[in-house]
Amino acid sequence: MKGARRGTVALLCGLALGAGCGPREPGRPPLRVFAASSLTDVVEAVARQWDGPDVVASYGGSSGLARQIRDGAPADVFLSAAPEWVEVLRGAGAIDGEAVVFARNRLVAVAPKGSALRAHDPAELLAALPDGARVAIADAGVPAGEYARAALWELGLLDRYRPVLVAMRDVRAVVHAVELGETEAGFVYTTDASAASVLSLFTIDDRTHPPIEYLGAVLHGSADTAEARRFLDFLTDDAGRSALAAAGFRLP
Amino acid sequence: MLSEAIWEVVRLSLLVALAAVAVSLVPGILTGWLLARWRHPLRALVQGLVMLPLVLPPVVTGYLLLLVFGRSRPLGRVWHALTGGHLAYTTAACVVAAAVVGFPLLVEAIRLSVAAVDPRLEQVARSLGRGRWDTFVRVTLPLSRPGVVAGAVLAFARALGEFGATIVLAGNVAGETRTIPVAVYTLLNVPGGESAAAKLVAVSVVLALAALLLSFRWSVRRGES
Repeated sequence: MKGARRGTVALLCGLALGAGCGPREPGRPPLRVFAASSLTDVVEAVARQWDGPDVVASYGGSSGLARQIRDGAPADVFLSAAPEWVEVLRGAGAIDGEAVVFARNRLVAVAPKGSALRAHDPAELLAALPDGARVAIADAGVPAGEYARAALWELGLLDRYRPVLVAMRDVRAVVHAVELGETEAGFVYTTDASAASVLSLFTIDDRTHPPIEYLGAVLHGSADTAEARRFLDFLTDDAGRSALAAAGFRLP
Repeated sequence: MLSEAIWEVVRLSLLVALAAVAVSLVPGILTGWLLARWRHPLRALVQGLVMLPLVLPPVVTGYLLLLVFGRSRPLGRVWHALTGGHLAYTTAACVVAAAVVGFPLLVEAIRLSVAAVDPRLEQVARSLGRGRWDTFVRVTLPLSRPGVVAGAVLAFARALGEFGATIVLAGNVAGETRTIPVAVYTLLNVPGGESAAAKLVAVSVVLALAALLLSFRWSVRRGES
């Protein structure tokens, strides 16, 4: 009986290990990080250097992640590509303490590698697009999509762009569609463009959209707010800063 | 009550679902008939392939379609040569995705209906001098009409709800590929989008239920006849 129970515990531990639940300290709950998809590579890099509990990260559009957190998805840290979604969560009472701005970014228009498309600004791009062309953009609500739409709106081009825009769930999906050559162009962050095999056409004037700021916050529902805060400090401290800078993010 | 933006989404969904059923009806009837009447070891394989979209994750179906219909892919090139445009991320892509995932439902209903037609009736027609094709059109098809109709309604309802393959192959283009499920998914991903989503959810429930009730009605008739 006792042996059987010990066997079960061993089995569960084995499963936990197999599922990546912490070779460092078995039994310790992982740190669940919900991060904007543009932070994928940085969070992976920082998690490798991190000495705390294992990081289990979920990536996606900040709006969708905020919606999941608000609706009770278990998470410890939220890394958002826009202040708006942190504010929504604060309003819902889901944020613990202050949110910190830890990185900035720029928008860029990209085309598939080898594309003959050349343009210096969104107006030229629209004029240069062949008939039936598609331009990938992140979904409404997703920060990368909102910044890009704000810029197109400011330039008076949004209505003319609308028929060619294909909305994608997050900015990494936009990068992927352009990489595959399935759309003629796409709007992504400079950091996504440099990490992918795409052709950068031009950087979008950052006076045409709100500043692209990444915010980190510890969540109220966190199982371990101390570790969550320590992770956030780690990300905004030297280790995180060098990973962010290496990926091309601007530092505050 | 429903805003223009919502109407646009509903209209597009109905158009896509109708077009999907329209393009798959004739191939569906022929395939259903083939699977009901053909006696060959390969029949099981053909049936398996036809049913595949029913059991594959729709996202996988969409990805496979993208591999076939993508811009630089074989059928994508054929499409480009024929139409001068690209299929991916257009309304036509929505129709293709919806037709493919709805096809098994259409074929299965037709197959069952054709299989229920007494072969002796067909033999009588043949013995009276009717050709194979004539027998099919004048005897088999009218007798299996309830299955054709029920299958078409089910395929229509399935097409209305198609999301997984659509989001991969057709994406999310306002007015062109933003169907009800795609619009609902987009709205639900934005905190605060629920109220707009609620209307589309209501429309979706009404349309799906109406289609189901119609298909039940036609199946009952078939049972009675």
